[in-house]
Amino acid sequence: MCYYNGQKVTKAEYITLMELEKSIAGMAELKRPTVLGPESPPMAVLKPNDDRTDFDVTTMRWGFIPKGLKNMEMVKKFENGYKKEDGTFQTGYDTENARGEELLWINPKTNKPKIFKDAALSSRCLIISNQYYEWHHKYRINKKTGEPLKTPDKYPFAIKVKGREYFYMAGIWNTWTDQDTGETMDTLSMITTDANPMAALIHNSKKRMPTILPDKLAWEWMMTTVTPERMTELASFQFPEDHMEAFSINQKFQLSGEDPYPVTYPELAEDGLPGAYSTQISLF
Amino acid sequence: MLFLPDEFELEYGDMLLKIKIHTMVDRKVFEIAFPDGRKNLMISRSKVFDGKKVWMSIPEGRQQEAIPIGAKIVEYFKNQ
Repeated sequence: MCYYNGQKVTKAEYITLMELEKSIAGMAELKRPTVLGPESPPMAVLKPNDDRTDFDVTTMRWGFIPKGLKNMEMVKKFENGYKKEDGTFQTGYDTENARGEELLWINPKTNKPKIFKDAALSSRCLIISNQYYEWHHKYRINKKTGEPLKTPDKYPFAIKVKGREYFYMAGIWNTWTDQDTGETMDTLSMITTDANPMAALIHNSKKRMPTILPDKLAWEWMMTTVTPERMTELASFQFPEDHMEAFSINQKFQLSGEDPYPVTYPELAEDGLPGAYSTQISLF
Repeated sequence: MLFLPDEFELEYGDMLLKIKIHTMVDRKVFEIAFPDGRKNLMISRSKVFDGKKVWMSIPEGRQQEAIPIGAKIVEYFKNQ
């Protein structure tokens, strides 16, 4: 028998109550305004304990910081790029996302793995999300030349899992210490995979999507020891489109500090996109 | 009542509580918002060792609120 709230409950009931407690803690994190990128508030994450017998709901910085970076000044340079002594510009690295199928990839020129390799093999976590956001690119036609403009108009969409208050996305993390200040933080990269047809229609510039894992695979990803081959399989899992739904939302929602709301853009009506657009097509 | 509403209101003393129903870990969890600024309370009905069902606050620590409000929720659904 175990105690919960001063009542004697069975061990099974106690485990259920603890799981509920963790779900509620995760839900509280989800109620915060939209999170996008390293400058935003930390992301809600499930993180296993050292021997993978239990897990905690915690928060992490979105933007994986590799161990070799000494302080936050170096991190900024690494992420944003910087001008080198010879006057050329060193491009920054995007570590918010890591391609699932390339986590163990070895660069044939340098014979070195990607910075994500060790974390992919040993530090896997789950990002808790109620929806994620992608931008659909549409190139308007130049009225004078009849050619598409070079710069697209971008339309944000919210994408969810049907019937789920929240779902799990595969992540990897690294605990990083700023050697100047001694500050330690868990930093996170979200795993991505090839987009399913619906996600590819929305995110038509890159045709990628987060690796969303059903409950059983999510457990396997975070709580079990897997072979490198199985890890890559899980990291590349493509969540089926018929379990997802999406709708277009207000522009610049990420700057408002508030949750986005649905907006229908008339200029997208003919593009076969999900949400209100599919209803319009079926009506006419 | 065929379907549970997602949200409903409940009179409790001189307060009107706003209640949301969530499904988590295959359980119904009720989130109670108070008009007096108190932190929202999450409660769920749990079976204790002798087979009786008891309203529990999740996380622990607000059992004194969970039991009477839980009883009001049961009463609300009985009257629907």
